[in-house]
Amino acid sequence: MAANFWESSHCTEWLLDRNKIEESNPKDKQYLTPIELKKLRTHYCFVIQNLGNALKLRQRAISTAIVYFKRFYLKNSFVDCEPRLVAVTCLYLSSKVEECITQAKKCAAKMKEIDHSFNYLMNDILECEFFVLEELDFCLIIYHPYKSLPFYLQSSGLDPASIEIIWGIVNDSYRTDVCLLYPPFVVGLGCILLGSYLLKKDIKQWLSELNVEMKDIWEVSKDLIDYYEFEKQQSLQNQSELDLLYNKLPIRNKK
Amino acid sequence: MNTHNQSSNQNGGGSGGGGGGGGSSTFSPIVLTSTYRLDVQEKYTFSYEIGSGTYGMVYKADDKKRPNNKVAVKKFRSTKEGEGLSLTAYREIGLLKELSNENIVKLLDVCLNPKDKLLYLIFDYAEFDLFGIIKYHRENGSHFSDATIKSLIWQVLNGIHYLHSNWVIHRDLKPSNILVMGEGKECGTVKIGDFGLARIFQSPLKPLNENGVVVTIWYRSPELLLGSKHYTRAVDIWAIGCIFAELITTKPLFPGKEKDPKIPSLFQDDQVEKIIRVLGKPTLDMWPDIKHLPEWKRLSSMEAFPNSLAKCVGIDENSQAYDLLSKMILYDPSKRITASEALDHPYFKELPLPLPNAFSKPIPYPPRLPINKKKREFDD
Repeated sequence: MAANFWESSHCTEWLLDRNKIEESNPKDKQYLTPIELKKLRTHYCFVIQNLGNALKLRQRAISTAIVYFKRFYLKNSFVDCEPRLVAVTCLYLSSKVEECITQAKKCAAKMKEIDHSFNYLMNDILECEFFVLEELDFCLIIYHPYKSLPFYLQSSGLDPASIEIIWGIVNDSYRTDVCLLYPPFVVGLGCILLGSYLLKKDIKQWLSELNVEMKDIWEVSKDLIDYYEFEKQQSLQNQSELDLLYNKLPIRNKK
Repeated sequence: MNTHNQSSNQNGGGSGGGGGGGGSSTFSPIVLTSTYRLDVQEKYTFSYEIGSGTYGMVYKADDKKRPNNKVAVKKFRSTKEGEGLSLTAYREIGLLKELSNENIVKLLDVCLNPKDKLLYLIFDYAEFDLFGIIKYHRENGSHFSDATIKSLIWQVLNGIHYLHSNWVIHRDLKPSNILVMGEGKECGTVKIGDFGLARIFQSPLKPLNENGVVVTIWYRSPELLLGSKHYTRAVDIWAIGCIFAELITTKPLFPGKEKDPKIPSLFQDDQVEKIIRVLGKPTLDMWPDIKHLPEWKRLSSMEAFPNSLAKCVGIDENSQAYDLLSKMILYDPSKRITASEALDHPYFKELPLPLPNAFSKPIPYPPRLPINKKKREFDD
């Protein structure tokens, strides 16, 4: 863990409680049920991931973009801020902050390839960039579990080959809200705990020796289990159903 | 409805409708966000321009809510079509939002103008910078007191130690980026500024050397000049060493002439020669890794000179000041003193001790002059 996480804006300003997160997308609740809204929010995490992959961005930049997107909608709504435009803009902004910069023009073109109904252009992204920056309160540095994973895996005694499974779980965690609730090392440990279940390894003794709040680690693990259950039940990648939900929203400035 | 009326202006590059003949136009934002935004001119009264760079202008201004507080407003605009806000702006915002130290410039506020795609960073106003006060002494044939030199360098090292221990490397330390506060409660306090080239160097997604040329040439370290791909925070220490010597002599230590940027080679012959004339030519003994650097052969074919640092700077070879200086500008970056070690150096423990206020009273230096020497209407 970087020495300065504890003094960062991520730690001091942007670790929230569950009640705060429940307040996300305030106006959208008029048009969608909680399950529908959760489905759509999860969908846009996939959109950012898929676009990031298409642009060949590094995973850390993609994860940063997803965190930006979640923070943006804590106080804003899809009806006022078209979510695909915001998603693309978050990815564009993240590519600059993480210094694996891509072009706004290229972001728009790639997004169009993935989603033929996406009609925003480069200039829309460049304008939206200002609003995203402002809604983030200019807090751009985001910490992630990736860096600490190898160290924890080594000390836990888990097989080095299991890093791929754990890494995949960490990536999946960005489709939940654990990145808004817990410090990255807690998220990392929660993912390792879940991974150890899947791999049928007992690491409870090792975890108990760490100086961390076990309750939080269990909760991260549980949030992920809940997410996998949700994903299985809700067929999150069903495009026609997602379009139906999207069209329930009277989105301003829809193109 | 979050609508703003905005006058047309010559700097506007907005993606919205055309300005028309001097009338107001209505800007309809592409997204409707929760933030209530005040325009920069609603919060600050602009005085005059005090600086400029590739990013745009810097203005002196008054905070309307705190009438006695001067601020510096740094204006950014999109410099290239289709690229939005610059990487420079993002580095400044991203890093300064996280950093907090008495010797690091403080980002007080950020103002946006989404219609015209303008960004303003607001900082505490610093009346002086080392470039200006060194120039004052050089032109007057006078020198800094030992207490002032020691206090300034200690504070620069203190700020850099904070940066380095938070995994940030500055990469553009030079006198004009070392600000010093004028009259007020922070009088004589160093504020390290301009984070446009700064990077977090713990596992960067993009290697540091891919950012191209960094550090202004007179303050650029040997490993950078020789094309190192894996440079470290030691590049900042070299730059501070150069500044240290410059405070003593009031002249730059290694004032090399930069090559025409169109010439493909990055090797700066004149800058390297200026260095070896003072420090002597580096040997494999003193810098074993030098043979792995891309431009090593060019250096090895250059003329040899003896080390004449003590004479050039005019200090006693047996003094603690010389010892510290020579360790800051060691050729081998892995042997160069660190900020932490430097702060513990005996130089700072002997009299006179470093002080929070680096200046003696009265402050002899003139305040910053407006660029073009006259008040200008803010022309946004």
